Amino acid sequence: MEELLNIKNLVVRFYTYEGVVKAIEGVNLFLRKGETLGLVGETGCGKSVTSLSILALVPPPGRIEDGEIFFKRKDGKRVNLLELNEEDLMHIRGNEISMVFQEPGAALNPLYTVGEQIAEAIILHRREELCRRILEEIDEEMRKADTSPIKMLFLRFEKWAYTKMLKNTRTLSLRIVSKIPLLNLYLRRLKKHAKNEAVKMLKDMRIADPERIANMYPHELSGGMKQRAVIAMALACNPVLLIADEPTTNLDVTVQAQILNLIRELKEKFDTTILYITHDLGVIAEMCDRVAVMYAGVICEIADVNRIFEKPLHPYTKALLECIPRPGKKFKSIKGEVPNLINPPPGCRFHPRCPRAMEICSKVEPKMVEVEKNHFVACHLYRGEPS
Amino acid sequence: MRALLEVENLRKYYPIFGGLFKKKVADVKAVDGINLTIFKGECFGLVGESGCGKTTFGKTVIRLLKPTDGHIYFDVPPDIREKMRELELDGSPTALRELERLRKEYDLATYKGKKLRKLRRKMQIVYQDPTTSLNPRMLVKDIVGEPLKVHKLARGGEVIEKVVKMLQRVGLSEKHLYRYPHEFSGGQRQRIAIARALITNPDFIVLDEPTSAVDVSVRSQLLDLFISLQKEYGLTYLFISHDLSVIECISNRVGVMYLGKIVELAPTKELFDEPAHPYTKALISAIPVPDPNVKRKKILLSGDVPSPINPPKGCRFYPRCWKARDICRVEEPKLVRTKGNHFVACHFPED
Amino acid sequence: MFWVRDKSLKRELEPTIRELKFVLKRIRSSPLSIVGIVLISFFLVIAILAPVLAPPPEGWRDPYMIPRDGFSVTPRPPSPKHPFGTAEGQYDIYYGCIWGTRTAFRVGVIVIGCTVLIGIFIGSISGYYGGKIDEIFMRLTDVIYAFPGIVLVMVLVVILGPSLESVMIALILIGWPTYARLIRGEVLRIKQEDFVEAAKAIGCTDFRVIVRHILPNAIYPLLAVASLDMGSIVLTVAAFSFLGLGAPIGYADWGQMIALSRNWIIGTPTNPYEYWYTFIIPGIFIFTFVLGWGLLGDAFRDILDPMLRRR
Repeated sequence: MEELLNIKNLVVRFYTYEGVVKAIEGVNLFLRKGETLGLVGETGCGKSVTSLSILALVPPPGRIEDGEIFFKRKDGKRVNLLELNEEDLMHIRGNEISMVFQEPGAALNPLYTVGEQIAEAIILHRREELCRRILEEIDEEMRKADTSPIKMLFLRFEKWAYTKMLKNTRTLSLRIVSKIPLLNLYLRRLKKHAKNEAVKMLKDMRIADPERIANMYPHELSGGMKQRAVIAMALACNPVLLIADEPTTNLDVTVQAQILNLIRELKEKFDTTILYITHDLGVIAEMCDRVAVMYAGVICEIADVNRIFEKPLHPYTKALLECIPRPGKKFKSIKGEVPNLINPPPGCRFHPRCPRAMEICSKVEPKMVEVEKNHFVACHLYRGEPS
Repeated sequence: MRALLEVENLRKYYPIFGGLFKKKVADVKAVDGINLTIFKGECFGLVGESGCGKTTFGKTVIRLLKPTDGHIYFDVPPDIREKMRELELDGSPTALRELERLRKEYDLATYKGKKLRKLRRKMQIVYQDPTTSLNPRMLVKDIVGEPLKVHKLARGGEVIEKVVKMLQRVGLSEKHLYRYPHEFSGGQRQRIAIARALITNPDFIVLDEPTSAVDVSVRSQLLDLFISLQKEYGLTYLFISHDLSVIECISNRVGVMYLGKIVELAPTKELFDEPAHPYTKALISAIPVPDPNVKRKKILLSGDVPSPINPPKGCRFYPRCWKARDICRVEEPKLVRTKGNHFVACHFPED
Repeated sequence: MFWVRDKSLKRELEPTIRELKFVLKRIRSSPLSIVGIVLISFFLVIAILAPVLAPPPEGWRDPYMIPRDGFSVTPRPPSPKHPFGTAEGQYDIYYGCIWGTRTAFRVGVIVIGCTVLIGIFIGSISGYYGGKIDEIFMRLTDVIYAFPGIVLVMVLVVILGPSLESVMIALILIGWPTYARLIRGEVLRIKQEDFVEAAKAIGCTDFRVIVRHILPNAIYPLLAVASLDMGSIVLTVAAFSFLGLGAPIGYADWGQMIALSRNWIIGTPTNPYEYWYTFIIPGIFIFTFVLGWGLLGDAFRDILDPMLRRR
């Protein structure tokens, strides 16, 4: 299995007036094509920031200080996402890498219907495919015998417009034509096709009556529906990588079950690689192939999902698993608090709360080593091959 | 076991106004006829998804909201309750007048003003989000000490003494007295809220999703705290949550709510081992298990959680139920006992 | 128990001190706010030291009436005896401006103080209880807004007789709706917060909920508006004095001083600025006073910002 995404030594800092928050300090992570990697951690550990960094969407006062994110594009080229300019990134966002956020309402514009928003994504990224199909349609209509001369004229004009669009949307002539009142009706065709594609996507999301839903505004839909619409938007252009940032945290448990099932089915159908971010270990167990555990801006452990649950190595992973409430058993918790990242603890960031902390833990930051095949830990308790 | 809180036919409707003259068009039937008894010293878990009315129920029961209908009896001596039941059965005008008089005295639904405020000493609530439930411009010592001042339970230096003792009991310390809530973490803020709720030594506490807004590692700390406080102060809890795994660990009995009604009621172990109502079954099966080897067969319900504005006639779960039949569409099932302490409201309960 | 009481005062102030330090840091980073604070402090000092800076003559009854040096009509330019010159009727401009500072503060503080208090009272009751009370109060504010302010003030002043006090009363009567609306809006917003419901759950009376919980959170936008208003109130009073509806002639009020210069603004045919000192000097006082309060209002707004951003 080939490597799709490789994050190397990512460093992200937030420059607030209370100090510099060292949100992410040297994260190394990679994703293989076709797998689902779970990124698990508690609030403030940096998992959302990591996902935003991939798409260079870290909001100010945050800044990506260092690191490289290598991504293998659809056309096979390998690029460093952090070195791309805005225009290239725009081609990748939504098209090759898509993101689904925690709050479904936040990703949807309340002024446009759901169908229009999905169609927007399709128009933006699948323009060529749409244009080709439209041109065929125009040819069909031109061949029909009963077209009036006026209509023929307009069809010719549309053909010219769409042929131009096939090559490039931003030519001057097209931009002028789009502003002229009667002529810009040629765009109707584009919108119609895009809308049909959007309805098809919604149908794929297992929404009954997708036509009706596509014409509704976000506030008319329930949380589960909205999240489905957002996923439809994310998958509309068949991205290679889907980043799901806690997509079901705010949903009811029965709706969550539906959405998780949906994501699994879609993954099989579209063969998408998924980076699944959550704090819920149950969801991790259900959805992921591999798991990375994050704490206070660093990755503690990476392993296959079975290994993580059977044989957790890092004390934080062990503690997290023990915290899961089990009926009849006493509650276990992790003593202490999540550290303030303006002044993180020296050495290993977990050492103040670690039951097995040694002297070296407060002085030297542990490096990520491979203890057994495909099982990486960053902890002084273990020795292994540096990764 | 003595009954501490008895709820009879409780309803809470929110009117929706529409049209030109703002007439009442419909009702949001948040709580639609609930009968429940919570016993002294127990932890009663109330589960349900969003829109089912559990939070509304919790707030109505401690009279933060005024019920549209129904009766709430809190800490009423059993002989008086017995008498009230007799009078109700009697039905004669004198009996009803006597019943009215007793109700005015004991039924929380009729309380207002000063009488209601005095009640607050005994019934308290801890909210879900500690960030919004604490006044951002008040010091911790004032937040926790306010109930004492309001009910005139202590004065001056005594207040601070009691506050310090309570803070220490919940895991904070004296040095936290002179700080603002925003200087604390989520878990600590929730502890402040707990200290505030406990300082007047109440009998009954409504815990409205108290662990939903905190991290997993802090959750267990808080749950531990709840249990030890219950033992030490002899508290009775109404624990509201949508998180079944937490409910399973902390409650003695569980009630499952759907669209304003209780659909199943049973001791915890029984509910989770042998759920009788199809909704309960679906709910339990939907919980993701933190063990990759367990592939639980999930019951996927069709459709979304419905809105309580126009609940379906007949059984409310009918549109999403996989074993629904004609009678379910027409007749609403009553909450009946199936065995022991297990109650279900379903025409075809699982077994 | 004693140790609690001894240390408690210092500890009580500790978090306030911490918050203050934070606020100071924010203010330091905004230079205009510092200018505002400096200006207002400067005027405050002048107002306090007025008897020292411009002592009224021996046996002078009302220090607010400007002493006259003669009765000739033509103003005289600045001289060692009269540092800012004299206005028509030989009123000492320097004296007038110094004591005018006191008048400005007095008028501003009283008018703003009263409008704010009335506004808070009505606004919080309106916002908290809603329903019919809210309707009545809001219609009342609508009625007051419907009248053009100046006309209303003029009518009231004519009824009450022209004097500084009547102008102040009139301004209070038409000024409170702004604050009532402001507070009502904030109360409506804060009423929804959990901690307000929590306060009720503890058993607080409505009064306590409003005073102890809602108002301390609602007051901040008010500070910004009130300080901007200080400046505009002083301007309005000055305008009325200029029209002859406010302070009597000879009163130490900036507006009055400019009123005295009415006939001399255009100067002489040869030199239009001949009598500049009669209106420019009081004008500068008014201008800087209003500017100072405006900048102070900005400073208050900056204080609001970190409170929000920090959370």
